Amino acid sequence: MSAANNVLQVAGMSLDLGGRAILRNISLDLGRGEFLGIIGPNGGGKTSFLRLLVGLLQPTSGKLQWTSVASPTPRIGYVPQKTMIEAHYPLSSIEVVRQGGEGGWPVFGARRKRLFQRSEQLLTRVGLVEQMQTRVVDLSGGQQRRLLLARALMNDPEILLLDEPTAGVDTRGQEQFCEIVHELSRQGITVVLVSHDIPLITKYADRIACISGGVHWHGAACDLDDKIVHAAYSCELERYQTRREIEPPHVHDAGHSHGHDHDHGHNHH
Amino acid sequence: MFESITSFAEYDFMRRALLAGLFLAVTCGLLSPFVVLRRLSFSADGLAHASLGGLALGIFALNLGPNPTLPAYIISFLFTCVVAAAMAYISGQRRISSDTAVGVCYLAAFSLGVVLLSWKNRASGHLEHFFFGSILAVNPLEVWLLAGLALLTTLFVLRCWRWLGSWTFDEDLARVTRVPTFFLRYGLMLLVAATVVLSTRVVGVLIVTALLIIPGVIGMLWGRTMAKIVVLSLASAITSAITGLVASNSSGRIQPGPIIVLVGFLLFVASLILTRWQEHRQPVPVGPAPAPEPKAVPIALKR
Repeated sequence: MSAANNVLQVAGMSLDLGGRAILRNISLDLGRGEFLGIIGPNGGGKTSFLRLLVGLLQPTSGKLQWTSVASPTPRIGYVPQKTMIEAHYPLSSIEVVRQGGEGGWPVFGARRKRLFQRSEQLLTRVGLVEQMQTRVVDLSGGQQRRLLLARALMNDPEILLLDEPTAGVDTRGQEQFCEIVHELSRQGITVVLVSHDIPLITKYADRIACISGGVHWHGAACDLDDKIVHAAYSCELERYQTRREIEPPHVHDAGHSHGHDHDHGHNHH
Repeated sequence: MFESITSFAEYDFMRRALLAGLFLAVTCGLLSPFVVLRRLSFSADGLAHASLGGLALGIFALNLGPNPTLPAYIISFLFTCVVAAAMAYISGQRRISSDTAVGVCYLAAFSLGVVLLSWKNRASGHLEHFFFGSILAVNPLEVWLLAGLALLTTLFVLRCWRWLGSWTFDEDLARVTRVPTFFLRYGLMLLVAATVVLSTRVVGVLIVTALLIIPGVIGMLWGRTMAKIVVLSLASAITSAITGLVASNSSGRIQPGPIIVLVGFLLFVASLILTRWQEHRQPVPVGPAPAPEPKAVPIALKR
């Protein structure tokens, strides 16, 4: 990956929370339009890593720098692992999506019309236009995830950070979600997706980083094998199947659009 | 009934009561949806009770009679802010939940108020006024202060309109979209503190809590957009205040404060029944809704 095409540089970054070391010496680059999948065991620091990227946590040491973006603080779309939506939350789906735009003042006239049109477009894009007047709490888990994705896109993000967006979603919902994200990545949006679903993540991501206190391994998705997964998760994963088992390495689409140069994995341990 | 309405034009104290009620209704009607949606109802209740301690401290320190002056209100406001900060600090301790922290702090502040007012013999007979208020005895200073607060609240809600909506949904998501959540949190709590301090003597501790909760809940029962929720909250707060004042004046015996709350409660019950009936007629589909395939047509995501 050329330095000019980088959007993120993380060098020697560590995070301590409440006196406990959560992440140690993380170094990672991210290219424009790249789809990075993050895997790792529970408590390994994946969510903390995303919260660092999004600015909700500050690193204890090391460097985290956004580069080659329009401003020093890039526009980030974020879909968290959990939201605080309660059963009585009254707002409709389209109202929640509209909230994703920037600005504090109420909008009127042409700006209001644009805001409304954009929120409808995004709901159409994620397949929820039929549910736009439905209360957000009445949507299914998978629909809520797609709604949060539409909300994250309201801000025209350059970077999209998704924390286990497919957890608890049925297979069809997972595929739908990842197809949308994959298309966004092809349009030039940089995507970082955290998931435990290794077959799914290896199917869509360009590169995988395995985080367990630090970057245990990172490399091209096609280079992930069961030894790496086994070492990171410290357990047998019987249902795990790598892309290498689905398709031999030479079949991998060499012309895949993002042009990263991490063709080989880098084992940090 | 007609005489009761015309009396508002005839007597200065009636006009002041009407204006105080209206300004308070505007303030509470605007704040209520955000207090309820951010789950601050109990904190608002706690601050309302704590403000009694502040007011008693002001009356005691300045050696006043039962009518507080501007310095007494300032002392009360500062005291209530200190209690709010204590609630936030204790809530931040891992071993104590936020509702426990609110309970501990407000009970201490409230008890301090009762002790100080009882100690100061001449005020002790008016304790009831601090629970249910005496809106008909509102003085011009209090009307001006309530007008200023209503204006400040309107400006705050307008300036932060879209931020407030985003903040009610999820604080982390709001922060990511550069919503100044720190300013919203403390701005809202300061406005709630100022509201309860000014209202304690005008409508009383119990009534101001009700006005900060019930209108927002009514708005939430009907509205699916933030604008509709706030407009309905405002309308129900103003309706409760005016109806309560007119009904109290007609009866000639009952304090307006409790009637204001009862009118609000009736509006709440009617809203609950009607919205349930409406939902029953148009049931929400049970189980996973048919998920249409995402449209294949790509849309330009960059403007």
